[in-house]
Amino acid sequence: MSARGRSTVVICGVLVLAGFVDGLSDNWVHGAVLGGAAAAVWRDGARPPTQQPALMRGKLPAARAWALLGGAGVYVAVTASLPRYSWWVTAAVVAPGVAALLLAWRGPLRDRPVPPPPGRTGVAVWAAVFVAGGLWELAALLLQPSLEVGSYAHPTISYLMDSVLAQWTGRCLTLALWLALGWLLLAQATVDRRR
Amino acid sequence: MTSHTVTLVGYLVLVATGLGLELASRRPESRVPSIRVVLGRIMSSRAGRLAVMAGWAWLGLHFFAL
Repeated sequence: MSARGRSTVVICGVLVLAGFVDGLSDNWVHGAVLGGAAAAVWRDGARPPTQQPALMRGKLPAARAWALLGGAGVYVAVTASLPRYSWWVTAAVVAPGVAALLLAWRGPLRDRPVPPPPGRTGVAVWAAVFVAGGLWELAALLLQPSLEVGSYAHPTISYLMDSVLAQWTGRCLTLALWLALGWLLLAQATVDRRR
Repeated sequence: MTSHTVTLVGYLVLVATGLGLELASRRPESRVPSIRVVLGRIMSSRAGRLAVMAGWAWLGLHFFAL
């Protein structure tokens, strides 16, 4: 199997497993999003690789940047006013999520070349940190009374965030950070010139 | 030390380790890549971009959505 085929199988496996576990925790909407992403990755893996040109050339014009920031501010204020776990807020969060996935499907935002491959040790230490974080969170989750009931003694990140997200200001800050993280992540996409 | 504190300390240690690695990556001749390099490698393929952005979308859903 080629390297591309292996990465498709691994990524699909992780997304399907995460979606299944989330579904078991009664979060079927989340599971469906992860399952949909897995299906998209699988479909992409079955086709020859293509490379779209970068969406943006040069710096974003100031007027457009301010308009984007203003739009994001209105989005954050309105979405934070909606009750958590309602269909309204679900639609409000799914919209930028789907937009980001479509942008990710299309190609990189900027014409950024792929950095040279890091050494195995460097990759291993970063992988260790993320795997340790996942296991620590999983341990806290499994030590709860049940998957749906949080525990003060073994708090998950979600449990700790509940007090922050109980207030409008906390929801605003979290949504703003989430949007900023999404933009930063999209900006990290690179163009592989070998394809 | 209560189990609550131990759990919190665990999260803090992980965050501090991540920050430490990022700082270490900025030293000349460092063998540790920055998170930007790692993400740049992962996100050079469509599958990688989709996986990273699906993780991000899931985070928003997890905290807010049904």
